[in-house]
Amino acid sequence: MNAQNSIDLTAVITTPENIQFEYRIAGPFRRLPAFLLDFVLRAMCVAAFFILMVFVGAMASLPFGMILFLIFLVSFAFDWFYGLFFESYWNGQTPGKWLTRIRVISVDGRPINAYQATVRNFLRLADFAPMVSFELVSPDSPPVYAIPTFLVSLLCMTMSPRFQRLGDLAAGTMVVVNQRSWVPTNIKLEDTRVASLSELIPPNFRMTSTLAKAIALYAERRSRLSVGRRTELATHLSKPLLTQFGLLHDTSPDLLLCALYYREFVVKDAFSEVKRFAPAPSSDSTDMPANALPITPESFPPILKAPQ
Amino acid sequence: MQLDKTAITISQRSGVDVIDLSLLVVRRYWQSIAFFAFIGILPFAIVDFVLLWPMTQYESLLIASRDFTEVGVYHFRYLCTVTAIILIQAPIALSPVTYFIGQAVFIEQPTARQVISAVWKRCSAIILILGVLRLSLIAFIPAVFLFFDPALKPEVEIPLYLFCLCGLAFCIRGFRPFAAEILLLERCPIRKPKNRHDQLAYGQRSKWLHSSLDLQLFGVHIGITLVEILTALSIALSLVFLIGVLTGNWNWGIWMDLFLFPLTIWLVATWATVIRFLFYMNSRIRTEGWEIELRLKAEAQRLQEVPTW
Repeated sequence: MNAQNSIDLTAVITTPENIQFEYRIAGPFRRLPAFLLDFVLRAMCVAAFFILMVFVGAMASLPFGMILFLIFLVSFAFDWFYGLFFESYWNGQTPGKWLTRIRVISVDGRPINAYQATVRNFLRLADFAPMVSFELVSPDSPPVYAIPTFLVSLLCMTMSPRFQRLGDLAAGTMVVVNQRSWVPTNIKLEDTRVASLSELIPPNFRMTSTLAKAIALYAERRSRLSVGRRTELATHLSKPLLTQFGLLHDTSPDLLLCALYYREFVVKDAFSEVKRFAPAPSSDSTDMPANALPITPESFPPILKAPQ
Repeated sequence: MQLDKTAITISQRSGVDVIDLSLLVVRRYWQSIAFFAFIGILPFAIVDFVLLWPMTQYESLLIASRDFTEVGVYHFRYLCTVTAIILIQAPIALSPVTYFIGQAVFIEQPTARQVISAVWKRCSAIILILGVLRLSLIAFIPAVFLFFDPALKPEVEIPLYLFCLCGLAFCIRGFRPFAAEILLLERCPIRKPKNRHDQLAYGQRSKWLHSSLDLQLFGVHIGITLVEILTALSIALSLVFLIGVLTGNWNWGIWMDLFLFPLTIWLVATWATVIRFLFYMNSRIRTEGWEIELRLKAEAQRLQEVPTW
């Protein structure tokens, strides 16, 4: 599959050493909760400061104008420097981004610096555009253009392949999802028939990489599917395989795919480990395991029949 | 058709990722989506325009009424009615978009003739399921009544139109959202054919696909509706701003009511069709292992073409 042409939420970054990293990009709707969380957090901080100043003002008999000035100052500082501060010192994350597991990085994959954080946060206001007036909601309101529509941001992100808003484009940054590293699960194939069926697969059968991936995907996901659905899915592949292998046509399709998985990913790995320490094979040896049964329909144990 | 060569990477995604992905799909196919949306929407938009025109005569409605003396009431009622009617009609009007996207996933680029022909072949099923049972065509009935008698009657409109029609349509679509995909893409017949035992009827298929995800789908439906409302508001308010910049009139005028607001709702409904299709893919991956099926089928095709040993 050509990953470049296929639509997906991933960005591939190639380093100068020709090493490729794949990041999952965060789109506008994944970023929205982080934005709202940060907004609420900022508002709560300003509100807390307001309450504190009212108490301090009352106790220290500060003039009301000064209290108001301090509150506006703090509010301004929170609005403009909150994102800048956190993204610069917290590896591209604000508390909202940390909670929603997203992060700002440079488009070349490196962590962002203070300059980039400044540019992308100072251009945030441009992404709120166009702003509409309060008059539209209530005709008696003053003509203050303060209701953000975010349409510029949405259009800009839609047109950018990395979901970059104006601030991101100017700063050369993008927002990615903090992925947890995927650890391949050790798939347990508890059915003892799997091992015996795997020995009946012709030893000279070589899987292509796409077939191996398909089998691995099936083995990984089969436990979450119903028995009927497993059979239905596995039948697509088991039909041509059974013909090729010369196996009985009533062999369980699910079991056959599990046997292929077992042979390719379990036995092969173990075998290669043994081979590393074993003496070189003689010239007349074959790939056939020593305990493999001859491949004849009569040799098939009855347990390999599909469940009725 | 190579089943594992898809235009959209087939993998299981979260709800927000699906909505984000829909933006990329719209970006890639915006011309075709706009074209097929236009074909499907045009007849509905014309009929809606004619039927709802009397509701926009706010001054005459105000003069005729004794109870409601605020223009804002009539304005709000018109906007709600347009929104509700368009959203109820959207699945049937946007059937060509659904079919196109379904084909585009497999890197097929159907022509306009092929899309229209495919939708036409399923016409009876679409009219019965989407039009009648899912109320898309039934939505014209209150519009016809409002055309002949546009006076505001909240005692009829709120319980009958809002709660019964809109509420019912919302719930049906919330619990069973993928009717258009089952009819158009899976081509399930309304009744099970007697000679084909492997072919599922529409009802069976719908039950099978939706039943395991009922509450989850309804939650997703509510979430998507919120996103749609916010996006529609954003576009509509931006249009007001744009008109203000271009003409100097910063008010929500008659142009907004008659043309731009319905256009906004149709735009959002078209985007929602793409989102719904991606959720359909996601649901099939989750419940049926669809991505495995595609890969296994593709491998089976390859095995039959070239022996690997």
